This record gives sequence, C-alpha cells and structure tokens, in this order.
Amino acid sequence: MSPDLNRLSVPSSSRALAALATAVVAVGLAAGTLTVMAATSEPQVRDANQAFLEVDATNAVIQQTQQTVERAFSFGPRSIPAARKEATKSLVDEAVTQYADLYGPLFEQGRSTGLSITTTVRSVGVESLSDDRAELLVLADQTAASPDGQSTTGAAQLGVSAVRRDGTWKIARIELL
Amino acid sequence: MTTRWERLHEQRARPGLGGALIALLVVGLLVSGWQGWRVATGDESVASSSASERDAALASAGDALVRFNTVDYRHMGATLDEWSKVSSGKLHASVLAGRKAVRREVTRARTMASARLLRSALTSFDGGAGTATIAAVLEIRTRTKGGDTKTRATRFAGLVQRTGGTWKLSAMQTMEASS
Repeated sequence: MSPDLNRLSVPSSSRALAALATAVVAVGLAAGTLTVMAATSEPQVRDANQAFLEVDATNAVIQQTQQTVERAFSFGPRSIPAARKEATKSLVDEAVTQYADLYGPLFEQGRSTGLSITTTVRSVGVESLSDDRAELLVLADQTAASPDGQSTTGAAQLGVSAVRRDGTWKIARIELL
Repeated sequence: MTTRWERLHEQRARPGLGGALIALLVVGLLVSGWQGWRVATGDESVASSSASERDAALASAGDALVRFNTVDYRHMGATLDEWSKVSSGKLHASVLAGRKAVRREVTRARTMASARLLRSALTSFDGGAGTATIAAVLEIRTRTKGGDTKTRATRFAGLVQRTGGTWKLSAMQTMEASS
C-alpha cells in the first residue's frame, strides 16, 4: 500500500465512524424522548372509572337499575307481592333494610286503603363504574293514587349504590336527595 | 512511523467499533419504533383521554348549570357575559338574542339567585362526537324583591357539546314531575 492511499483510506473510515456515532446519538435521543412521551401519556393503570368508556357495562347498569327502581318501588293493592319479589331479588345489603323502612308502611296503606304507587324513572346518570360497583343518580317521578281516583305526583331524586353479584346489578344502598 | 502490527491492530479495531455502533443504532431504532408505536396507538392513552374528556364534560355542564342559575340583578352585564361564555349552539344564541329582555326583567324584579350543585351525573357520553347529556340536581336559593328567600331543589337535564376543545352547554331544561 502506498502512503498516499493509506492517508486517504483512514480519514474516510473515520468519517464513516463519526457519522455512525452521530446517528447512534440521534437515535438514542429519539428513543429517550419517545420513552418519556409514552410514559407520561400513559396512565399507570386503566382509569378506575369505566362509566361510558365500557359502553355495554354502562348500558347494563343503567337498564338494570332503572328496572329495579320501577318494579320494586311501584305497587298497587293487588301487586304488593310482585314489588316485594323484585325487592328480594334485586336489593342487597343496606338497601334491604332501607326498603323495609320506606315501603313497609306504604304496603300497609296499600292493603288497608287501596293506595298505589307508581315510580317512573325519568333519567339515570352514571357517576362511576367499575367491574362490580357503580354509583348512579336516578331521577324519578312518583305518583300516589287512591282508589277514588285522586293522585299526586312528586319528584324523587335517588343516589343509588349498585353492586354486581353473579353477573347482575343489585341495589345496595339508596340515598334520598 | 506505523508498524505492521499497529496497522493490523487499527484495521481490526475499526470494524469492531463500527460493529458496536451499528448494534447500538439498531437497538436505538428498535426502541424508538416500539416507544413511538406506544405513543401513537396505546389503548391506555386513548382510554385515559376519553376518561378526561368525560370528566371535563360533566364538570363543564355542572358549572354552566350553576352559572345559569346564579343571578344578581345589580351585575347583569357580567352575568350575561358569563352565560355567553359557557354556552354554545341554541342556548348561546338565545342568550345573545335575549340579552336586553333578560336584563330588563331581572332588574325590574330585582332577582337575586344563587345555585349549588347537589349532585350530577352524565346520562350519555360520546367522546368522538363531542356530545354528552347530564342529569343534575341543583339547590337554588332565590330572593325576591320583598326580601324573602326561598330554597328548593330543582332537577335539570342538559346537553353539552365540545367546541374548540372545550365543553359548553347547548341546551338545558328543568325536569318537573309529570303525572
């Protein structure tokens, strides 16, 4: 090898190395930046509140809560057992006692005076939803009617805590707002 | 002077360093690709942005309902500006169109009202379309000309829409009990 060729080839391979080193640094920076971006844009865990993010689960809790409220909180003189049956099936925990306290006296009136109560859900909002717990806001109208045809309708606002047992949503607690 | 051994050594070392750098480059590219893919497509970040959109929709709706039920006849200019700011669509248009009439009416009756959000929840949410509906119970305290105060819980249904990145109330109505 001539000295001249030697001088030419060494700088060119140095240049290639320098270019390679620069590329490594650039890619390293990109990797670092993207890692930070990925880490900051990503929450540590899935958002705990799945309300309206899990559409099917949200619809299920809305639909089942509405049905329970309307069926358990509506009765006529001859349909008290049906309301009780729904309550037994769909109320758990604190809601069981709450229901007995609220509706026990009303059932008495139903039997003695023929009072009937119709609960119509106007709106169900979901505050929070996880796999087995949900907090809901239920806006309902309640009409109390006596056999002589007189009736009054009032607004009922309920904060409802629901729990999922064996794949079905049950009401565990009711807060009258 | 370069010895044969040194030249040999140099020739060996260069490919070694080059190989290491190429390996680093490949690793760097792989990491960039992987992290870039995470940034672009990560399901978690999509869910998290939907969750924050949902929470923003609810917060904006509740805030707007409170503002629309807070009235001070002495500061109607500022009140109407607030209403205009937190509304969009039809509600916004009616705020603008009704400005004079509302001001006149409220001033004549010397209306004073303050509102507090007792409870609120979304009844529907579509993050993609940027729409959500809300159910809310507000405690509204009003004072009449005579100085009497009245407090009552009022139910509301509202529609919020995302415009220019913020959620604004575009419709609202009280939900009276109906037989």
